[in-house]
Amino acid sequence: MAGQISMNGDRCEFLAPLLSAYADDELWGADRDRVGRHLAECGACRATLASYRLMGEALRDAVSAAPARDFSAITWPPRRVLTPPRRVIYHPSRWRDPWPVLAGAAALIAFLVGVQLVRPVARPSNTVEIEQLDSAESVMVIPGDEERMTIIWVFDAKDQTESIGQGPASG
Amino acid sequence: MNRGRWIRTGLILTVALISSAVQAWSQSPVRLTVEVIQASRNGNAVDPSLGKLRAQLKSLNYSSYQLLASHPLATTIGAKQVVALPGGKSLDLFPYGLSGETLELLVTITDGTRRLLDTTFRLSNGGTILVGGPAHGDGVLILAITGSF
Repeated sequence: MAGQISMNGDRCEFLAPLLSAYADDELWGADRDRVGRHLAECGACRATLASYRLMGEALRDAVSAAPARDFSAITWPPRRVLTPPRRVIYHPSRWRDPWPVLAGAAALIAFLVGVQLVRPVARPSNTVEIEQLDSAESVMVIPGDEERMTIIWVFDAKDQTESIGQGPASG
Repeated sequence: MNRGRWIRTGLILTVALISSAVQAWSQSPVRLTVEVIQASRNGNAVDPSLGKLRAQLKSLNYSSYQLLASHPLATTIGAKQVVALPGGKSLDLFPYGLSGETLELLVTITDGTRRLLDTTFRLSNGGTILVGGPAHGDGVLILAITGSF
């Protein structure tokens, strides 16, 4: 077919690269029209096209006829081998089982009791914040600190010892 | 026992346990100790059972200290305690709250109808406050109030 020129002036060697695509129905537009017109006049190219198609059909038949590897026949290893089973602590579907709930509640209570028991004991401080003080008698407050205790002293009118002018010493 | 009963039993027990825990949590135990001491200027005897209080009492102008009574009180927040004092006096203790690491305490001392003292204060855990002055015998009463919670 080399050198053959169709009536519309297309040479076979120029259209040959398009024949394969034409055979596979992958040619569109003006190229397809050109090839079509050339094929109508060129027996050699029709023969080439026919051979392409035969070859394609043969390949397709070969592919479809060749039994694919039957993957279904492969026995996959058990799933647990591929992915180790997760330890299900509490699956929602087990909500009817009360024991996990009870165990959780018991653990919570034990935690609260434990916190209460191990709560650090604050160092005793003698510091006292007096918010309100009321008395029918005179009252004196000697503030305390880390060492000394706070003293609230009521000057009781019944106390005869106070009449001699001796009360608590603030020092 | 079928599943329905298990469910009900589990839920009831859970609610009961949680509510009792919450109740116990809210009713924090409070330990109050009231030591009633008589101070006078007659004699120089200092009761050895006063322990660490002796050092604190030295700052007062009395020479004799006698421990008359010790009242350990186990109570809770919101529970009033009444301690009878010598001479017909009365001491009311009302721990009304816990604020941070301090105990909120209302203390009232009455002598018959006479209110000698009415005070509220915050006391540190394990802390002690001295309340003195009410006349008793030839001296006065001193109350050492210790709170721990």
